Amino acid sequence: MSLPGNQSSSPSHEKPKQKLNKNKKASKCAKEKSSTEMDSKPTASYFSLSITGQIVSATFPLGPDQEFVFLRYELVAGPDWQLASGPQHGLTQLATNKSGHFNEPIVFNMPIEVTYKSTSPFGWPQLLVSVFGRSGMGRESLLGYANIHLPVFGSRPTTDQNTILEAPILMPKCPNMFADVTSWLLRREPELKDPKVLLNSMKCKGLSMESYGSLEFQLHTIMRGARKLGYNWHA
Amino acid sequence: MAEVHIIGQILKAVDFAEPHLYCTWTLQSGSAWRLIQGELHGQTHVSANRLESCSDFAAPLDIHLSCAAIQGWPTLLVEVHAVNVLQQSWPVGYGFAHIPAAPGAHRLEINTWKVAPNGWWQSLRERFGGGGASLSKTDLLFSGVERYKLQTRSSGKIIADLNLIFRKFEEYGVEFN
Repeated sequence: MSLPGNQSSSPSHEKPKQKLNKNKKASKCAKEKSSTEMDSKPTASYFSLSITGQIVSATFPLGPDQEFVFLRYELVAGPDWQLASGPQHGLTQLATNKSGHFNEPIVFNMPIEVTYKSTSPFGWPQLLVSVFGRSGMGRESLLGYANIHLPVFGSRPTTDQNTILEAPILMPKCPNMFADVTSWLLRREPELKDPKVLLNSMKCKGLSMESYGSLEFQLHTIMRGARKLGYNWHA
Repeated sequence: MAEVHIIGQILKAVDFAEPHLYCTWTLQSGSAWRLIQGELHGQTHVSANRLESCSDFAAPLDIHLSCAAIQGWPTLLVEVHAVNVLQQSWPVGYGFAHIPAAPGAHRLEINTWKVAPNGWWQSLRERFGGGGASLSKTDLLFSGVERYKLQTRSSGKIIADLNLIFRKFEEYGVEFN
């Protein structure tokens, strides 16, 4: 489906360059310059969303199942959304809380800085994180998945910018008892082939998950152009 | 036409007696509302928490509706089902909540109820035989018309986080509190 502002692949090469030039112009802080850059935009029917923040830590109430924990995050968004800058996947360091108490948060401090451009809030980007653990021997296993929406505009009062978003970590369970026994014997836990199934409410019927632990995020949103398109997120 | 975006998650189910739960949700709205993008029904995976007695779903919701009249403001209907070891499932909670009438972030706590067992045989079946009675006509959930003959018990709560974005309502003169 083609929507105004959702260009095909050739103009999209020019768009990120244009955006970079616009940012440089805006930083010179001249009002006349900013008004001309508004006029020179080809279509003004998209808004852009900048998310800055970090994956702060992971907390397991009775300690993680493996010694070292690392995360792989992925940003998933709808068809109208284009990633303007920033990485779409990332892999964190191997972190542990061995030196402290077993239920202290395992700190990652993984920065997330992305900018998206879109014509509609449908398909708002989500952060899908896969949590993996690694034992001291080097064996890696899955500890779970977590997914949150990047903060939607209007979702937090401006006085409370440092709240921590929490997402539960969900670990897939074996579908039947035979699979349970096999996985215990072979020491291999079930993994989802495509974790994006968790984001689709039509596809996760019959999937059985266990929740243990949570991930903490601190994310801030900067929007541009949404109010001009008529979106209202304040009362 | 005015538009409404509902973006959020069905977070968790708390205070239910059974550990393994899944939730089916539906967004119901009047005849003046049309779905532009998104799904109006969904079913979450079965979930249980290792330590606490709650079930975390984190099921994302992303719905784009267009609105021609204020009547029939959308409601979110939830049905919580429990699953046992033999993979049988039965409903343990019905509930609904109207989508809030103000843009921004909201945390909805939907209290649910279930049909009460009608005698000792039904209470025994509820405990051991794979579940108690369920509603045959689910439109009882959101209409108050024929409820007087039903006996119900309170059940747990569903917590959902919704962010609402409205568009073009000012053009039609609609004001929100």
